Amino acid sequence: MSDESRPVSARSGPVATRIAIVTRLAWLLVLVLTAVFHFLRGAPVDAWIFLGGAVVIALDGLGWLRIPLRAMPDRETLSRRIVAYTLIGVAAVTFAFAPLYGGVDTAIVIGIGVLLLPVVWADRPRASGAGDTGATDEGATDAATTGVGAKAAVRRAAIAWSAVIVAGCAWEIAVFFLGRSSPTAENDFPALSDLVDPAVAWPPARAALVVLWLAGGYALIRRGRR
Amino acid sequence: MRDVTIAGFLLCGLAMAVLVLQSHRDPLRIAPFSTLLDVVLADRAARFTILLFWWWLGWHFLVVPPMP
Repeated sequence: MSDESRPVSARSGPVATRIAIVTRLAWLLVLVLTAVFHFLRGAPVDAWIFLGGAVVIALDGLGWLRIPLRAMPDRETLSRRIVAYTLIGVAAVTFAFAPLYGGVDTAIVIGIGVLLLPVVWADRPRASGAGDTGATDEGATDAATTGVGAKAAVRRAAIAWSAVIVAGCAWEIAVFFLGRSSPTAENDFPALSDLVDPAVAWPPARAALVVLWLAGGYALIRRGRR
Repeated sequence: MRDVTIAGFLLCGLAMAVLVLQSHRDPLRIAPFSTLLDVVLADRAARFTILLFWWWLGWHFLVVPPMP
């Protein structure tokens, strides 16, 4: 098992270990199913991206990827926020003025992905006062879910959000297959991409979407470490 | 049918907005999305998967031209 899954078993026994393994397999399945869908829709590059992610998760779960990275505690300072929002602004302006689907766009998106890899991979620091042996990410988890009521609230939120996201994905997949049923069906059943792409073609809207996308990513990478 | 299709996507967005509002109104019943993310993203597999999906959105909309 990887470094991250050990503390669970050390603290909570075999049941927690089983839960951790099942959870990891569930994420793996999500990535594999997404890859299969992209193969079906004729987007092999997208499929290989998700399949590659699945391989990485599998190798990490088997303990064959040992990359000792540990994230710094998240100290949200004004200067860090200013730097982040400035970079997001610069990227938005660059995307707005660069040729659509050109080399600059590709370089920036790939560069962001490569730069974020170690940030995403790094073990999250424990909640303060949790000692210094073994526990990593799950310490923060415990701090965020202390108390039976809080845990139940998190469980309910997880179920509700999962239901909405699964429904959205099912709708998108259904629309995709219905749109392929006849030449005129594509207009009746537009995929989400078909609805968003015209906005991407208009530079101001593209800049706004880039701001939304990058701000979302900035918010995501700061989560899971408190 | 086009309107129905679009309404389905809007309904999903509306459901997300309702969840956000409800969690702010009664966080002990439904935990805020930020709390849920703190719990879920503490695990590397989840973090990697969710950030990969986020990154792919940029790839899909900004790098890959729409299919003809």
